[in-house]
Amino acid sequence: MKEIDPSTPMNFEGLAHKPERITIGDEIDYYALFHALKADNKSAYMFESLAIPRHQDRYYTIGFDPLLEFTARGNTLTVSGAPEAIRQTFGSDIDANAVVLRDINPYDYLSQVPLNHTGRSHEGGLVGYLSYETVNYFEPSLSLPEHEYFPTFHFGLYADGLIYDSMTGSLDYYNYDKSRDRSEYVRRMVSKLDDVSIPQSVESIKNLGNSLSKAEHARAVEYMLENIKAGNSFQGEVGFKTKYEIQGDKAAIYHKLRKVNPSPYMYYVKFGDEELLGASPEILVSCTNGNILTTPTAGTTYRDEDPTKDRALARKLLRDPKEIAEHSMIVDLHRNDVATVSVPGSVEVSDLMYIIGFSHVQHIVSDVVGKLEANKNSFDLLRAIMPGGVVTGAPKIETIKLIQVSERVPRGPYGGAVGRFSMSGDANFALAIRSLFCHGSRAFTQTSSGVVFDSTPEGEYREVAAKLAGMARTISSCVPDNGENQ
Amino acid sequence: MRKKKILLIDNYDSFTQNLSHLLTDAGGKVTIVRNDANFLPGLEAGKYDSVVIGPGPGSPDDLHYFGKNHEVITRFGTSGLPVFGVCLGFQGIAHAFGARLKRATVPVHGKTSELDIVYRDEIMHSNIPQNVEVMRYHSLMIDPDSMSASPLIPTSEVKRDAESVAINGPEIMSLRHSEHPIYGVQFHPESFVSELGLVMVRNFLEVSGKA
Repeated sequence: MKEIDPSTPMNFEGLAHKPERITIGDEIDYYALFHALKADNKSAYMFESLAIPRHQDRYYTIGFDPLLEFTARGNTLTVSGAPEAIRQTFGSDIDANAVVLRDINPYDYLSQVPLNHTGRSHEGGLVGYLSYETVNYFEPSLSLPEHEYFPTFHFGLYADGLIYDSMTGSLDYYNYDKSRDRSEYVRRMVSKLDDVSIPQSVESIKNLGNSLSKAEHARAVEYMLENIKAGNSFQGEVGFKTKYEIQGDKAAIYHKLRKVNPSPYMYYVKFGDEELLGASPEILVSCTNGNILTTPTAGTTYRDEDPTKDRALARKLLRDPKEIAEHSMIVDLHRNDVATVSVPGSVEVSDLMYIIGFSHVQHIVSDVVGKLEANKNSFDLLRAIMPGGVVTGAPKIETIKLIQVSERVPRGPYGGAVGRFSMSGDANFALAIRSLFCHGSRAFTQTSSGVVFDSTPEGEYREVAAKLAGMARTISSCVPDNGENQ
Repeated sequence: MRKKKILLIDNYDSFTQNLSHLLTDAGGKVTIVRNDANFLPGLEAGKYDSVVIGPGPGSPDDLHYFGKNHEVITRFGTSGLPVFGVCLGFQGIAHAFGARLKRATVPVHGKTSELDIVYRDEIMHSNIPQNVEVMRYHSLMIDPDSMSASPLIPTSEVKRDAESVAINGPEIMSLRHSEHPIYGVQFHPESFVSELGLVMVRNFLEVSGKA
C-alpha cells in the first residue's frame, strides 16, 4: 500500500476504445459458471433478471477479478489491483498492490475514470455498490456517520467479462484489455461445469436480533410524526436491521432467494469478504445513450391466485387516496432528481401509476424519464438521485437528517445502489433493498416503511417486522437442520 | 424577447429542480442558489428581474430553514423587485408582513384541491379559470384571522366545500401584497398533478423586470 498525491491523474490508455468479442458457446449454464468463477476469484459479480419487468433488457452479466478496485471510506480512497495494473494507471515508479489517496472527495476522484468507450451498455465498466452514506459526498450539508464495516462505495473496474443473452441462450466474452485476454480461462472453467456443485446450505446462522426494539421503533416513528406535523417532512422512511452471524458459503442463501423471490434485478456482488446478494424489485436509475429512466415504486398490496380477485386488489390499491398521495409525492421527487441533470423540458412522467405483479405482492409504478444534458454524465446522474426517494421520503435532505436520528445506526449498503457505470457511459443501478449484506460472517438485512401524517407506530412496526420476517425465513431455511440452531 | 433573469432560492428542498424547469419552460433564465449562499450582492447589483422563493422544510420564522429569504422579501420585495413565493416561500411572505402561521389540524401532503379565486388579480390570474386543481404539500398554514391586519390580500382559497376545509377551516392558497409586486402560492404549480402551473409561472414572468 502506497500513499500517493491525490492530484495524481489516472491513465487508462491500455484499454482499447472498443472491446473484442468472442462467443464462448450456446446454452451454457451461466449460473453454474458464476459459482465456479466466484469460488476461483476473490471478487466477482453476477446480475440476472428473473422476473418482469426488465426495464433494461434481456442480458445477464458476469465479471471476475477486476482490473482495479476502488474502495472509499470518509475522505480516503484506496485503489487496489495487481502491481502491473497499479503501475499502468498511476505511474511506472509505483510498485504496490494498492495506492491510497487521502483528503479528497472519493466520488469526485472516481468520476475521473473515463467512461467514453465504444461498446454496449453491459460491456464492463465500474461495477459495485454505493452505500446510502455516499450522499455525504454529494450533499455538503450532510455528514452521516458511516457504517461500521461497509465502505461508502466499492467498485471494481471490469475491463472484461461475460454477457448471457437470455433470449438466445448465447454466452459472449468481451474484453477491452488486450494484455489480459482471459477467454481461455473462461473456456477452461466452462469445460469443468459438470463438477460445479451449488451450495444448498450454509454451516450455521445466528439471528442476532434487531437494531431497534419495538419500543425504540415506536419512539422513532413518533419523532418522525412530530416532524411531519411541524412541516419538516411529508414522509420519512424509518426502519431497522436484523443482524446475523453466518458461517459458510452465502451462495446457498442467494440460491434460495432466487427460488423464493425471483425478481427483475437480482444481484450477487462479491469483493473479498464483502458479499451483497439481493432480489431488488426496481431500478434506482438507468441511463442509455443519455436517456434517463427511473421507475418510482410506491404502494403495495397482495396477490391472489384468482385473476378477478387479483385485479380487485389492484383496483382497491389504485382507488386508495392515501396510496395515490404517497405515490404522487414520490413521482414529484423523482421528477426533481432527474431534472437536476436533464435538459429543461425533457423530464416527463411517461407512464403513470401502472401495476406490476411480483411473486408475492403487487406495486404501483410510474416511469419518469429525462434527457441527460450534454455537459453531464452518469456520475452526475447518480449524484442527483442517490439515495432514492423511496428509501428516504421528502424533502430529502431534511428527512435524511431525521432518519439518522430515528434509526440510530448507519444504513450502509441498504437503500444505496448496486450496479454499473458502463464503459460506454451508460448507467444501470438497482435499488439495494430486499437484500442480505454480508461482511465475512457478519450480515444484516434491513427494511423500512414510509411514515406519513396518519401513520401509527404499531402499523409501521408490523410492516417492517413482517418484511424482515420474510427475509429471515428465507435465510434460516439455508441451514442443514432447517433453522433450528438459531 | 429578452429572457427574464430569475433568481430561484432553494430552501434545501426536493422540488426546486421541478420549479426551475417550469420557470425555464415559461421562458425564464434561472439561477439557483441555496438560501444561505452569498446572493444578496447580486440582488443589490440588480442582476435579476425577479426572485422566486421556493418550497422547503421547516418554518419561515426559523432562520435555520429560511436563510436570507426574509431579507429578500422585506428589503428587495418592498423596493419593487418582483417576488414569487411557493409553499415555504408563500408562508415566509405571510410571516414577513405580520400574518400568523399555524399547524394545520390535518396536513395535506400529495393531494389536490380546487381553487376558489376570491380576488381576481389581473396579472397572476390571467388565463386561470375558477376551480383550477392544484397540488398541495404543507403542514403549516396561514391563520386567516391574522390577515386583515397585514397589507396582504388573499387571492384564492380552497373551495369551502372541500374535506380539508371542514377540518382546517378556510385555507388561503394564494396572496399578493397590496402595494408591491410580491405574490405567493401555498400550492405547488411545479407538480405534475397541478393544472396550469406553466400559465401561473408565465404570468409571474410578465411582472418580472417591469419594476
